[in-house]
This record gives sequence, structure tokens and C-alpha cells, in this order.
Amino acid sequence: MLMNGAEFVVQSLKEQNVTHVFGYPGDAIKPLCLALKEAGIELLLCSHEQGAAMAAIGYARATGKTGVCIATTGATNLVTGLAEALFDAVPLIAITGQINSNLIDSDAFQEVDVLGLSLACTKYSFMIQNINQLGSVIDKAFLIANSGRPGSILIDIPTDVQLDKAFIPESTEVKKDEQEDFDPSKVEEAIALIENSNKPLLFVGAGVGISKAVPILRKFIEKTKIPSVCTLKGIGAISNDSEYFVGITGIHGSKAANLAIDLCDLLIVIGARFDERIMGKLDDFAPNAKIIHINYDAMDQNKISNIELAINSDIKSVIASLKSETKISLWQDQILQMKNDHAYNYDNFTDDIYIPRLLNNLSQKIPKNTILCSDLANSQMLTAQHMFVQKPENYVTSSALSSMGFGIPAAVGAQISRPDDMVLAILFDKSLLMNVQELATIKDQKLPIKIILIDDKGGKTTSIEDQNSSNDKITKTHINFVTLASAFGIKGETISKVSQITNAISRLLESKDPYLLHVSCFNNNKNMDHTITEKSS
Amino acid sequence: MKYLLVIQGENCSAILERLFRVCRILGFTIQNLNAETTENEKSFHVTITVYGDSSISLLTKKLNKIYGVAQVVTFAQGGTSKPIARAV
Repeated sequence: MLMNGAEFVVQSLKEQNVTHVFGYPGDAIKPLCLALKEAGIELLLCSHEQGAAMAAIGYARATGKTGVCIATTGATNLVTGLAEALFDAVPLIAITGQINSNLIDSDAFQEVDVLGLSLACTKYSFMIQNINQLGSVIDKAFLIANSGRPGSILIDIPTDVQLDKAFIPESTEVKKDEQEDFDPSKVEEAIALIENSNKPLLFVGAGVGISKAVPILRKFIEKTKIPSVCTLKGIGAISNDSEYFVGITGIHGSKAANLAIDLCDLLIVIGARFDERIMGKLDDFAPNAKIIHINYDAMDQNKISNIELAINSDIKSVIASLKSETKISLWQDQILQMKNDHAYNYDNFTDDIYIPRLLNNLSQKIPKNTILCSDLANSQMLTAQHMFVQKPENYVTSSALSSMGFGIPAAVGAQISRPDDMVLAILFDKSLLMNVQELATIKDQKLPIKIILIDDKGGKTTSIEDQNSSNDKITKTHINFVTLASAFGIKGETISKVSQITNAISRLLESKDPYLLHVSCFNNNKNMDHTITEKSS
Repeated sequence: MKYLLVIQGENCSAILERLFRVCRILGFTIQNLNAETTENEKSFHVTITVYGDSSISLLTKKLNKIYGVAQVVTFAQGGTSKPIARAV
């Protein structure tokens, strides 16, 4: 069938069941924008290319589908989003419009080596030089983005290729990667290690959600009653009701979870990397334990020496094969005792707002399927520590890259993907300012996103050295965030006292429109501390 | 240590840049290179001599992860060779 390059790309996107594309338009990508419109694929215009990439990530994270975004040579602004998707293993396709192919490498207007830019921040990238190369590129891009450890793919298409017409051959079927089978003897070895262990501990990461292994993991935990901890990105994989679930681990994790890692004699790491923010000193990690590492990817296994057994295959099949019996009642009692001894303390005897308490209470009021979006620092850690998440798709955060400004555009993508679910964006002040323009997207698309803005005026995260000095903050200007939101047509209010919380939360949750709740706590920075909030301390 | 890497795979966009990037990040310097395409330019065959102190198994793993790379074979060539001096 005779069609132009843009129409062919759009037809391929439709075959991949793409229904929404996020983007920022421009001349170099106009043919594709028009083709998307004609084909009935919804093009959601964001206010910045970075916002478009992050909205596509939010969309992908909240649904498990592949996110798609478009841009022109404004691809320079896509870079953070592409890196975010690569590091957090999110399937993302970015299609960029390049200048006409005959002008490439002539210092032409808006000419950027987009493929060159992409090398460090994508899993793979394509540069299309003529229409005949389009062939199965989209199918290939989706395959690479979703196979193994997912990631970002960039496809750079010159404008003339988008407009060229040709009889493009039907896409040849792209061969899927064969999943490598695991060695059954390794599973037997794992079973033996588990059954001989007195203090086994499950360490669950994002790979469990990515591999859609959550139900089978929960069954395994229910049957064996092995205590468990999770990483920041593993939140939601283990049920909050699980009796022996200790909490998140790492430098911002709970004391009980970190102690459990120190005390266990067998650590079963499932779908997690050995990240230094979780492990701390590599030599001291799980000092008394043998480690079983079950993950698709073997890359991090050189970091530590006490890996007893590595099974690098599909997580779901491996967990399904682990038929273990355990007799660990003493260890279970010890875990319950540790959980109790180091439980978070929500007592607050002042009228200043205590953020952990606010978030914990809020968590009990919102619908179970609420999607929580946060970006980094206080907002991310406090949300992870004090709010309940029912499944991995309900917690959208920037983890490995910790991109400031991720929360708002991610909430846009999440709300577009799941219009019937509540989306709660929990941000801190500096982070909102990084992508504040996306408030316009929220208003334009009429998205009822609820925003909680924790304002410590830059606080600990963005200050330099002396955290109590006001002289070293990034921005000294006092910003009236409620006025800022109202400039975008978004309602909001500021609270700073405990007595204001109940009514403000009601207004936030009942609002049919987007709403910003600005929680001012810069007069009491101690209430922002997300590292020590336990009873014992 | 000096190593000879023999890398084969699908000749896809910027494949050499991707191989070099991994070598650079892991601190290996490239001392010798021979690259050719085969089968109507659909496949590539590259031999690279690299010098560096980082883990060669990590380099091999990372090269193997690049999309399009089908096989990486590594030969140790001893530790006497020095890296190429940087041009002033």
C-alpha cells in the first residue's frame, strides 16, 4: 500500500496497540502529528519535551504498557526522560523529527546529532536515512524496549522521510528473544538452601513487578511465610497485610528492614540490583548471609562476593518452581519483635504539621487503587515510608535517576492511563519548580490530579553543607505556590498547622478539578527528617 | 592487562560507537582495531585490542548486552603492553 513515512509509522504504532502519544510539536515532526490525528491516536501535547517523556513514563508505569513520546530536535530536552526510563527499566519509545536528510551534517538550522545524544541514555536508537529503512523499525523498537531489562528506545526520522511516499513492504515478523531456560539443578540448590536456612529473608525489587510476578510471589510468601523486605521500586510487590513484611530497606529504609538483612543467614534477592543506596558499604552487606540472586540480568553480580547462587532467567518461572518448606518460627518471632521495636512513631504533640503522620493518615483515607506519584528526596522517601501501596503500578516514582521534576508530568501520564483512579502527586517545592509548566497540561487536559506540595523551602535536599543556614539554598525567593497554581487556573490552599489538616484534606480529596495543597513546614525542619522517625529513637 | 576481543553481530546503527563507549566507560584504551562487514553488510566482525585494569568479564558482559552483538570472545594477551600515550 502506498503511504508516506509518517503514515507508516502511525500504522505500526496502531498495530502495537498504542492509543496515546505524549509530545511537543514542531515543524520537523508535523507530518507524524497529522498522521496520528488522522489515525485516531490521541496526541497529548505537553508544555515541554521533558514533560512529554516523563508523562509517557508515568503512563507506562501505571499500566505496564509501553510509553510513546514525540519531539523535534528538541530531543535535547528529552534526554533526562530517556535516561530515567533506561535506569528505571521502563519501556519507552521516543520518536524525534530530524531536519531533511540532505541537510544533515551541514550545520543546518536546528540540526542536532540526536542519535549521538541518545547513546548514553537509551537502550538502543535508530536513525532512519530513507523510507525503505522504516520497514520493521517500530516493531523492533517495541521488542527491544520490552525484552530483558526494559528501557528507552529513540527513533530519529528526518522530515523528508516522514513525507516520502513509497510502497513499504508489510512488516516482517520480528523474532522475539527466546527466554533462556534456567538450569533445574539450580532451583533444587535454591530449595535446599532455603530449607536448610534458619533465618531466610526475601529481598524484593522492581523486577518482580516488571516481570508480572507479583501474584506468584505473594503466593510463595503466603505459603512459606518467609519474612521479606523490599527496595524503593519493589514497593507494592508484597502485600502491606503480609505479617512478616518488614518494610523498605536502604539508607532511607526502616531500621527493622536493615537489621533483618544484617541478621539473616540466607538472603533471597528477587528482581533487584545491588544498588549502593540500598547496600551501603558493599563489604558489610548481609554479613551473615549466603545470597541467592534471582534476576533476569546478571550485571550487578560482580559487586559483592557472597553470592552463593545466581539464577538469571524469567523471575516468574523461577519463583513458581521454588517449592520449599520452612521451619523458621523463632526467626519469625524475632522479625515481629524487630518490627514492633522499630515501628514508625506518629506521635505529635505540637501544632506544627508532622509530615509522616499527615501522609500516614492520608493513606488511610484515599481509595485503595490510588496512584501515588513522587519524584525524589523528602517527598519520595516519606511517601515510601508512610503510605500504603497495593501494587507496583500504584507507586510511580523516579528511583535510579531520581529526576527532579518527575512527579507532575508522571502524574499526567498516570491520570491519562487510568482516568477512573485517583492520582495523588506528592512533591517538594524545588521539584515542582523544575517542571512547573506541566500544570498547564493538567489544566488543558482537565485532569483531576491532587497535588500535595511539601514546602521546606529547598530544605535538606537542595541545600549545601549547612542544612540550617538559609544562605546556601538554591532559591531564596519566597514563592507563593497557591498564587502560582492559580495562574494556571488550578485551585489550592496553604496549611501550616495541625488544626487545618482535616478540612484541607477533605477539600483536596473531594475536588473534581486539579487541586494543590501547599503544606508549609519550613519553620520546623525536624518534621521533614525521613531517616529517623522510629519509636526507639 | 592487554586483551584481544573478537566481536560479531548484526550491523546496526552506530554499532562501533556503542562498542567504543563501553570500552571507554570501563577505562580500557583501544590499541588496535579491525572492523569489517560481511553478508551484504548485514553483519559485522570486529577485532579490538584493549588495554586496561578493569574487570574483563564485566567488559565482556556489557559488550554482550549491546543490542546487535551476537558473540564476544576474549583472549588475554599478557600485561606488558602500555596504553597509547594521549596526544598533546
